[in-house]
Amino acid sequence: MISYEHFQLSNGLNVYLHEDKTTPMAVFNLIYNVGSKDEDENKTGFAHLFEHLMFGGSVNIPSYDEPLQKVGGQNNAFTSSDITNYYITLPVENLETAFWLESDRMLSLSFDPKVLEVQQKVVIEEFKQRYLNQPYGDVWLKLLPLSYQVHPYRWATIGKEIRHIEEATMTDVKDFFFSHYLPNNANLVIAGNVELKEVERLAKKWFGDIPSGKVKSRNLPVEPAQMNFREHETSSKVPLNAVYRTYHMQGRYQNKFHEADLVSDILGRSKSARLNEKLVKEKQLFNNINAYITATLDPGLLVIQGNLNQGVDMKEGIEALDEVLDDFCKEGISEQELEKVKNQSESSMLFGEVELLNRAMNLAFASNAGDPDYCNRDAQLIESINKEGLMEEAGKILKKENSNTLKYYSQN
Amino acid sequence: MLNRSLAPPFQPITHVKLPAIEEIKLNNLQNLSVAGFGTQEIIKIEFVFNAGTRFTKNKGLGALISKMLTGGTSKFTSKEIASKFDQHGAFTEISQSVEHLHFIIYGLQKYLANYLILFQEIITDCVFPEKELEIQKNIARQNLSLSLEKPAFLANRRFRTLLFGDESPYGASHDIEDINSISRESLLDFYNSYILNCGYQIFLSGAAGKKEIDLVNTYFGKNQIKQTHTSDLIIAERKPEKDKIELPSGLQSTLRTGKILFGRTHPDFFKFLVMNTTFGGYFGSRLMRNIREEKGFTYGISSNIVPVVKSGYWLIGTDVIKEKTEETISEIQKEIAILQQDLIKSEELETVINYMSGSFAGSITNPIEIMDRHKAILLNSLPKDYYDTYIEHIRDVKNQDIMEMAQQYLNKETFTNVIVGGKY
Repeated sequence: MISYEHFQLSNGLNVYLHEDKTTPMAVFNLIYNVGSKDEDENKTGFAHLFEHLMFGGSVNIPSYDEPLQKVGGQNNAFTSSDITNYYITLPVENLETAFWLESDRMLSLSFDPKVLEVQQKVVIEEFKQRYLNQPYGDVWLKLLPLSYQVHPYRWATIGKEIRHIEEATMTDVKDFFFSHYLPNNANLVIAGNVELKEVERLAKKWFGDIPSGKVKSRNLPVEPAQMNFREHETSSKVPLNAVYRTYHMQGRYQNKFHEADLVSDILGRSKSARLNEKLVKEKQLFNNINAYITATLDPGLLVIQGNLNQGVDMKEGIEALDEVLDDFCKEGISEQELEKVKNQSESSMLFGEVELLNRAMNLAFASNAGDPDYCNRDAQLIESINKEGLMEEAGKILKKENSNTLKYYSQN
Repeated sequence: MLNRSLAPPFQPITHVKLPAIEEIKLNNLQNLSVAGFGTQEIIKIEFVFNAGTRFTKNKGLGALISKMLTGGTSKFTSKEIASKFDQHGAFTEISQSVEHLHFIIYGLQKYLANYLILFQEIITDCVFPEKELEIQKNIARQNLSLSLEKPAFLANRRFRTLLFGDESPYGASHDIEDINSISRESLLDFYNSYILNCGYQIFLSGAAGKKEIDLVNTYFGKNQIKQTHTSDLIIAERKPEKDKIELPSGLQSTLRTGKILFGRTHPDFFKFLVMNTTFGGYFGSRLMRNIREEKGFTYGISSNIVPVVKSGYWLIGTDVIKEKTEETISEIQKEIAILQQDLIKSEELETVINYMSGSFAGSITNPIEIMDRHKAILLNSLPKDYYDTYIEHIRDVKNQDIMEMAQQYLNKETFTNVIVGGKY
C-alpha cells in the first residue's frame, strides 16, 4: 500500500507526497507524459535523445549533475514508448537542491549546439552497444514493426535507425521541449521523511512561476484488431535459432490486464511454468523459453520467446509451442496453478515496494496514467481473478489471427 | 525575485552508522544473522557454504552445480522442487563465487516454513539424476556459446585470465569440453565434501521476528555439522600482458585495462577509492566528462575496484567507436597524467566526497541492503566498524592523497590490456 497526499499548482503541475519516516534519503521523481509514441515516424528515437539533452545544462544552471553530486545526490532517467521519467535520490536535508535543478530545466534548457552534437554521438554508441553489437540485440527493431501496423509502438524507443538520430536538429529539440516539457504535462512525486507543508513551500517556490503551455495534442492511431496472423524471418550470427511470438492484449491500467498478465505467468514465468516444463525439460526442443507482457499504457503485447536447441528444426519447435498453447486453452488450469501465479505476483509486488524509489515510481506511473490510486489497485484486482475469468481472457488473446511470429535463424 | 542561478544551501553527510543486526547461535552453534526490521511481509534467507569454485576439481563444475542442486532429491524430482518453490511465491538464486556457494530464497514471510523444509531436503539428499544432468549440460553448453558472442563477456574473461593466470580460480574459465567432462560422480563428490553436513552461515532479512528465528532453529539447529577450514588463496602478481580479440562483425571496441591492487583493509584503500571515483567511478568522473561528454566516443566508461578475498583488482572498462580505439587509450593516459601532475581542486574533491557519502548512505536503507553489508563484513573478515567509519575514512582523504595514489599505482607499464572488437 502506497499512501500519498496530493496538491496541484496553478500551472497544472500535480505534486504527490509519499511519506516514509524510516529513511534518511528522499526521492524526487518527475515524470513527463511524453514518450517515443509521440514521435514523428520519420524522426524516431527523438524522445530518448531528448532525455540525454536534459542533462546538458539548463537556462540558469550550466551543469545539472555536478551540483547534485555535491549535495550527495544520485540521479538517472529513462524513456519508454509512453513516458520519460527523471529521478533523484538524495539526503532529505538537501531536497531543495532537487527542486532547484529540476525546476530550472523545466523552465528552459541551454540549447547548446555542442551538447546536441555530442549526445547524438553518445546515443548512436548506445544504439550500437545495446541493439546492434549483441547477439539477438536487434530483435525488437524487427518484432515491433511486425506486431504493430499503425500505432507508434511499431518503432523501438531507441529509434528505427541510426540515421534518424543523426538527422535531429536544434529546431526539433526546441519544438519538442516547448510542446511537451510543461508543468501541465508532468507529475512530481516526493517520497521520504518530509512533511506536506514543506513540499508545498518548495513546489510553489521553484515550480510555481513556470508558465503552463499548450501540450501538443496526441491523436495516436488506434491499432485495429488483428485479423490475420503475420510472420517474418530474419537471420544473423547468433548461436541458436530463436522464436519470438507476440499477441495483442490490454494496456497497463485497462480492464482485464491482470488476467492477461497471469496467463503469461502460467505459460512462461518460472521453471515450473508450462512452456519450460514441456519444451525445455520434457521434449527438450528449447534451450529456454519464457513469456511476459510489455505493460504499455495503450494496448500492449504478450510475448513468448525461446531459443531452440541446436539441431532442432524451426517448424518442429513452433508446432510444439502451439501444442502447449492449444492444450492450455482447451484444458484450462487448476486452482493450484492459479494460486501459484497469484502467490508469485504477491511476492514480486511486495519485493517491489521494499525500495522507496520503486514506490515513488509506481505512484508517478499511476498518476501519469490518470489516477494515482491505480498504484494501490493491483493486489485486489489480482486476488479477485478466478479460473473462468482467466481462461476467458486466454481464449481471446491466444488466437492464431491475433499473433505474430518472428523466426530468428542462426547463420552459424 | 527568485535567483535561479544560486544553489540552495546544503548539508554534507558526515556520519552514517550501519544499523545493527542480531547475531544468533542456533542450538547446534551454527551462526544466524538477522535483519528483521522490514515493513513489507517478505523474507530473504541466504545460506552461504564454503564451497566456491576454488574447491572444484574440474573447471566446468561451477557451470552445473548451481543448476543441479535443485535437480532432484530421492523424494522430489527437479520439477517438483521447482513447483514447490514457485507455488509459494519464492524465487531462488544459486550462485558460486570463488570462495562461496550462495543459496538464496526470496519469498513471502507466511511461507517461510515451506521453503525451509525444501531447502533442508536439498542440502541433505541431492541425488543428481543422470537425465537432469544431461539436460542441464546441454543448456550450459548453449548458454556458453551465446556468451561467447558477447563482446563484454569475452573481454572480461580474457582480462581476468591474463591478470590472474589460468591456474588461479580467479583467472580460470571453462569451455565446452569442461562442461562435457562433468559426471554425476564429480557432482556427488563435490556435494559430499563441501555441502552435505558442512557448516554454513545463514543470513535472514526482511520481516523476520521471533517466530521466523524459531523456525530456522527448528530446521537447521539440530544437525551436527562439520566445520570446513580453509586457508586464504594467494593472489600472485604476474607480468602485465596485452591481448586483442578480433570480431570481424564488431561495431565497437570493448576495452579492459587494469591491474591487481589490494584489499579493503589496506592502508591506502580509501585514498585509492576516492581517487578512483574522481577518475572513473561516477557519472561526473574525468573519464566520463572527457570520453563521453566531451568527445562522444562512448555510451559509458568507468573504472572500478573489485575486492577479491583479502586482495582486489582495479580496471577501466568501456565500449567505444572502433575507429577511436587508439585515441581513447591515449586520452585515458592523458587523464592519468593529469591526476599525477596537477593537484585536484578542492571543489572537485568536495563533490566527489559528498557524492560518495550520499550514495553510501542511500545504499543501506532497507533490511536486505543492510544485511548485505554485514554479510560482507562477516565473509571477508572486515573490521566490525568497517561501514560505521566508511564515510569518515572517505572524508579524511586530502588533495595530496589523490595525486599520490595516481603516482604510486597508475603506472601504465603495470597495466594488463584487452581489446575485443572489430577491425579498425
